[in-house]
Amino acid sequence: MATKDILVVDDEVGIRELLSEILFDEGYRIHLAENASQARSFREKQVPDLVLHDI
Amino acid sequence: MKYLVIISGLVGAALLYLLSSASANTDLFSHNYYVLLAMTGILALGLASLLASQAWQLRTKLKLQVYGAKLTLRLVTIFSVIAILPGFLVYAVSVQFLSKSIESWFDVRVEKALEGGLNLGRSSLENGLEELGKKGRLVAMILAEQDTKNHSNTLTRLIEEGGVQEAAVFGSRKQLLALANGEKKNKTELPTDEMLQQAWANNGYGMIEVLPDDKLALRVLVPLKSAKWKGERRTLQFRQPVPKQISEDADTVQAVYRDYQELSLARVGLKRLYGITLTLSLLIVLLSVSSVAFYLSEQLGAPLAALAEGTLAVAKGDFSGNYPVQSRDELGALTGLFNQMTAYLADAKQRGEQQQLQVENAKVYLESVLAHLSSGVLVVDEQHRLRTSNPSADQILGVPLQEASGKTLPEIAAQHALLRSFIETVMKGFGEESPHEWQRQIKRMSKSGDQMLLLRGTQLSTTADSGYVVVFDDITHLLQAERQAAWGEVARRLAHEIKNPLTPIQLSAERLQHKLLSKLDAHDAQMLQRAIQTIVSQVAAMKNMVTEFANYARAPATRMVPLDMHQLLNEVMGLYEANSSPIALQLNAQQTWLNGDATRLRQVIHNLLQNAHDALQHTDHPQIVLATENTEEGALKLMVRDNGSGVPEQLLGRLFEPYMTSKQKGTGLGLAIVKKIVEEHGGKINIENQQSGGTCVSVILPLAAVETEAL
Repeated sequence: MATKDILVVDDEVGIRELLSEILFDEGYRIHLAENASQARSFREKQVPDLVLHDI
Repeated sequence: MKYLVIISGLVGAALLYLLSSASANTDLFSHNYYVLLAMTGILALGLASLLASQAWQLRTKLKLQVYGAKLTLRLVTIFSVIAILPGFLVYAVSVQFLSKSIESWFDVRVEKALEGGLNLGRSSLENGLEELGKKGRLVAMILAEQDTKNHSNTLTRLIEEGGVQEAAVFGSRKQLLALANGEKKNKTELPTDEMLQQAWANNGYGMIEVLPDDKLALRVLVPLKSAKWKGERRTLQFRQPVPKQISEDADTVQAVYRDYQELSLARVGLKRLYGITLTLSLLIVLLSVSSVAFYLSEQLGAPLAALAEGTLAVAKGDFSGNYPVQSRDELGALTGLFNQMTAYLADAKQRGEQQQLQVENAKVYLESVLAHLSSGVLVVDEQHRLRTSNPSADQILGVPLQEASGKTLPEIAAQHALLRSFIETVMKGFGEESPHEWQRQIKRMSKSGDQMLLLRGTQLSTTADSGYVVVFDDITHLLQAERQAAWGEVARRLAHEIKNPLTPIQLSAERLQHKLLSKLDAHDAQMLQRAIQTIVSQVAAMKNMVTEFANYARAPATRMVPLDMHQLLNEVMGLYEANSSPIALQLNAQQTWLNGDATRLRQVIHNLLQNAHDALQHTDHPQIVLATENTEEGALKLMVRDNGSGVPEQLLGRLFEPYMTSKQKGTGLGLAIVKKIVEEHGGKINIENQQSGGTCVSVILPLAAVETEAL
């Protein structure tokens, strides 16, 4: 089973780091974005399997 | 009346003239005197009755206190006295004079003189007759000696010698034997047989005879006795006219004497008649004068009475009178001036009334402005007496100040303890000499909790009524709104700043548990699990609180639809069937439809019931009453009453502020949210402690417009 890519978008650095730690432990490849423009520029290079973001 | 008086006067004058003429003239006197007397008497009676009626009228007027009657009485009295006193004087003198002069006419000396005159005339005639007789006897003796043919010559010579006008000799059968007269006539007046007999019986006869031309003449008859004529009885006749002067005088004297005798006999009657005439004259004159006096008095008094009446009317405030100018004299001028004066007064009064009306209008306008002003206004004078206050002042201060008008501010403060701090502030403001304008903000206790007041004082200009004006506003709600707006901002910040860290905390805690639980021994694992549990539950509670807070601050838009409040209440009550405190329903409202958001209204009901329930935790017989009724203004009133411990008074006014609570637990946001929802529905909410204990929360919500119209 190939490693899945998850994009975590959150402006709070604590939330980003916590989520990436937990998801890394679970065996996912984690990508971080601070805001929507960073998230968009990441998506131009690669389409993640899942995006987690704040509402 | 005027013509009556004039006519009676004229008739009286005419009658009096006739009467006096009649008194002087014997013929009229005897024929018409008594008729005239009667007529004059009737006239006098008529005048007397006229006078009586005038007097009666005056008396009636005096009794009724008709204005001017006293003046008329005075004038009548003066006029009458002026007329009557000289009248009586003249009357008395006339009567005295009359009786004196009548008496003097019939004086004895006059009578004697008249008799003397008469006798004088008579004796003078008798003398003449005697002389003529002597002459006759002398001539008779001469004739007796002579022949008959010489008689004529002798007689002619005698005539020529003078003394006798006519001489004649008659025979026995009265045939003329000889005749001589100055007029050369051959005829004479023959003596009667009777005369001849007397002449022969008495040896001579003499008489005074009245000739057809009223002249007197003397006639003497003498018998001629001589033997030659053989018993023929011849008679000599002398005739001699009495001189004209003597004859007339004798006539006059005789006539006057006869008149005198007649008058003398009638003098008592005459005196009486003259007296009556005079008395009647006096009576008529007096009565006429009195009548005229009445008339003139009324004439003179009329304009004065009119003026007096006018003055009276003016004194009573009636300026409408306009009195006709009746004469061109001073009275007329006075009436004119009076009319002018009343006109000025009426004008001035009208202008005054207009000004008063303007002032009143201005006052009403000012009062209306004050009444509609939402700010409270107090006007006090220099002695700090309350002069004016407006309804808003009463409302804000919760004291009927209108009733306290006229009292000084310290007096009012002594009466109303709640106003003490307010009035102290005002007095302090006025106590400072300058500046004339001041502004202060005070916090005071009112019946509905703490109240924030903003006061502005101004000293009125010293030129007009000096005093002070205080304008004040209740800024409690303003401050409350400001505070609520501030809390809204806080809520937004909290929602963002607090909620965000909570998620990592919870996640970290759960991760700790997940990672470590399998690596610890049973005791440590249990401890870890409890700690993690505590963290998770507290974070959840914190999240809940922040969510609730955010709800309050964010306030999503409500969706208004027509709904039946009673139906909603019944639905909600279904959830409380198992409630520990019994809830009694008293749904008395007739109109129950209103526009509202069912979800949010449910929240209100839940919240209020929850509060009531919480308040009854330490009450022995808890009882909650949920009641509805329609207010007079056409709204629905929802009341939630409990019999709990009530709310401390000082908290009542602030219960609707966020984070204000009397409860041990709770966020303090419940009532704030309830108030917000009620206000979104255009309603009002109020909370008060009941006298019987416990609190009563009333929510007043406007009814749906459609149903209000359907009524």
